[in-house]
Amino acid sequence: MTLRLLQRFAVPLIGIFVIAALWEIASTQGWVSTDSVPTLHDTVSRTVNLLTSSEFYEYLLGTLQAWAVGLAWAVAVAIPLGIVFGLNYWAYAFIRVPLEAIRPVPPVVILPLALLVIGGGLRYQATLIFQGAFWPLLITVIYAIRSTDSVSLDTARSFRLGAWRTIAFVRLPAAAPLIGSGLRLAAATAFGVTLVTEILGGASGIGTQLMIAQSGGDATSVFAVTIIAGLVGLIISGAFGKIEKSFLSWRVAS
Amino acid sequence: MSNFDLTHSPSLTARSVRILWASILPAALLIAYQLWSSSNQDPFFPTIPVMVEDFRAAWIGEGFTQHVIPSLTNLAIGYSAGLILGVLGGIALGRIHFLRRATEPVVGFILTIPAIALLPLFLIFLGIGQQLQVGIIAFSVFFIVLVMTTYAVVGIEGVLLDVCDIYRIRGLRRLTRVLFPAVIPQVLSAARITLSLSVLVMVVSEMIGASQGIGATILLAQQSFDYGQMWAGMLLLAVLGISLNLLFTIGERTLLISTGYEVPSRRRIS
Repeated sequence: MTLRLLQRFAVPLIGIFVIAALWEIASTQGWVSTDSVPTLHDTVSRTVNLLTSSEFYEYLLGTLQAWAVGLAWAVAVAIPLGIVFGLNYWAYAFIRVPLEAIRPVPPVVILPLALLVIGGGLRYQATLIFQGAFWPLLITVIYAIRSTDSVSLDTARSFRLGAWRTIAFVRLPAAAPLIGSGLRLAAATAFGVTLVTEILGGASGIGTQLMIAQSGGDATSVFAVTIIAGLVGLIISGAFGKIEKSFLSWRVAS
Repeated sequence: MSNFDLTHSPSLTARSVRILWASILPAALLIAYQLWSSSNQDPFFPTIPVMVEDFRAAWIGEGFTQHVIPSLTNLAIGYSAGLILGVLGGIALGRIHFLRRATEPVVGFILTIPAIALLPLFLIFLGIGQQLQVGIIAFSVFFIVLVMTTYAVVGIEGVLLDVCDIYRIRGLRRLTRVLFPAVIPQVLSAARITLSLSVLVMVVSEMIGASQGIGATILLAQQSFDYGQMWAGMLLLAVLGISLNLLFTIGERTLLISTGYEVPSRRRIS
């Protein structure tokens, strides 16, 4: 028992420790220039400094706000639409060609146009985040609804469950796990697009902070803000992982 | 009614009805855009003939050799380097339990950083130039492929490896004859995800740190209010994304068939 516990936590800790030690030694001993790789303790203290400064919080809030608004719109539109198009084959066949064409197009394609037409700011960010997260989510929801097990559909029919109740009690619970993982992916994509809009200009947030630090040659801040971006990513994927798990439990109910 | 039966082959008329039905929306969209843009005369939204003309002027000839070829070269080098290293690393992590455990937290953390957020860091490391594009594409492809390959190797059935032991299939032969074929499906799906990611990373990195390439051209056009050039660039990106995806699908089918995997007969949409 204790051995297994030790293995489970000790080995990852050793890994973290070795990599941290390598980083610290390489930067303090001058194996790499501190102009490009700051020391570990500098990076950690800068990260803590940033996280406790109110000025940085405004940028962080700006990023999170844009992310939340864009993602919320994408989810609010993609899920009902996906259900409708997933339920009706002819409706799906009607939009299929443009949908298949849009899917592999990178989400930054409309960025230059959006920047010109909308200008900068939250609306521009939200528009880009929306279209980055919307298409993949829509496709996932359609696929999830369409792939309902035919035996459960037949069962619902023989029990004369009716169209609405079939959707509510059979199709949606069956589609929930896939929709859950689609949501998690959409959240991550939305966060990536948020940073793109900030790095390429037009909106302010932690992406702007990254570019300011980079153009000032402040490697420590670049490392610190990148780590913070990773932490935010971690929180987002953790939270949406939880949502996905709770959606997964619906499968048992179905 | 809602579940269209795709297993029986439909008659010719049914098929043509379906093709006709599917082409209504794309045709309507094109026509509507054309009518709207020609009546509107908005410089932001040129008409389709103008767009096509700008596209030809921008990308056929000099534009192709000066911007498209360098972009695609960087994409090809970065993508294949990331893919190959990712598969090799994933097999190593999948086979060596200790190494996987030890690197798990760090790899997991790097994976949650959006690829684009790493751009400033790579700018500091590599500076502006070809090495930036290749480096960041390879890096972002590498970690996703690494993790998905690791999972695939861990998921290989124990029986398969036991059989290897019994027949003393070891070393290189085990790698090429057993491990590689076993992880092909997962590696392919990682390769598909990272293909679109690397196009995105390529464009954004060119928008920030490059004087040539598709991304640099688009941003320059946008900043100098050259709408024709800008639309030409946006169109090229769309065409590029679609054709790379198509090429990948063809390559995927060929590889799956030649290695004896079942190819999903029904077209899936995910």
